[in-house]
Amino acid sequence: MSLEQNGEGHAPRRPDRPIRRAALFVGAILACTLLAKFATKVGVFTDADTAKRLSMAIMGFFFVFTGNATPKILTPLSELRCNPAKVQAFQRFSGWMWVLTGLAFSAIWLLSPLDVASPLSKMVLLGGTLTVAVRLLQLWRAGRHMSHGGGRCLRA
Amino acid sequence: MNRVFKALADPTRRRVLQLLREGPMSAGELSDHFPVSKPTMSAHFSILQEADLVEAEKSGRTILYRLKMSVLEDALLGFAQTLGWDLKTPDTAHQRGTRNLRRRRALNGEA
Repeated sequence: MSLEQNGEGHAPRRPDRPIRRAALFVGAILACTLLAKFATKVGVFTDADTAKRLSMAIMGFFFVFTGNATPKILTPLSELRCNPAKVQAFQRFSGWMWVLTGLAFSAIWLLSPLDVASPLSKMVLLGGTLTVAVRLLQLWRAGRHMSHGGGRCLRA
Repeated sequence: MNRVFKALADPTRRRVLQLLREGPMSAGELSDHFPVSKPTMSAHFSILQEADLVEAEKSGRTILYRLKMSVLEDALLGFAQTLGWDLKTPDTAHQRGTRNLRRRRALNGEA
């Protein structure tokens, strides 16, 4: 068996799998939110804020879910116009950033007082987004230098 | 998830993943880092691909491997590296036989 054989021979992955997963996750978020609202109406949750806390925490988990999958989304190397190592580093960084932001977001909504949770979670979300945006800008600039003004680093 | 644990249990495969953190590498470049035969490396690459931790892409006549790890898998790799996980596979009958023979020889004072 030669090393060259490794690129082939594996069963092709179903292309609709990520879409199914995302749809399932969105459905789960909606179901949880509706259940929480229903539980408040019925009287399971005596505190009206519990439903809101749960909904926001689930939203935080959505960021975690999205961030976790980010490094797995690969663009074919032939379509990349800048250093593939830099693109990979950016994807790993943004994945980690979204996971940590999502975890912090959920923890804030679950644990801190409601009047603090709203501004604090917004700050965390903004911080995470800005950090990823700065890294993306750096990547874009690197791509510009490589393609002499083309500026497209992620896709050709 | 079982496949991921199996893939991460081996130090060679963990080293391959660490090398790929730097960026995509060809099969030959990766193999140069290890004192093992090409078929053995091929088997390692195959296990990593089955676990969906790396992706192989053909570029001309060479195959480029690149990392395809989720954040959770990345964290698991970090844990495995820190704790030094090692898969304890059950002994095969041959391995057991060889070990028993060596033990008997040692007890008898044979070379």
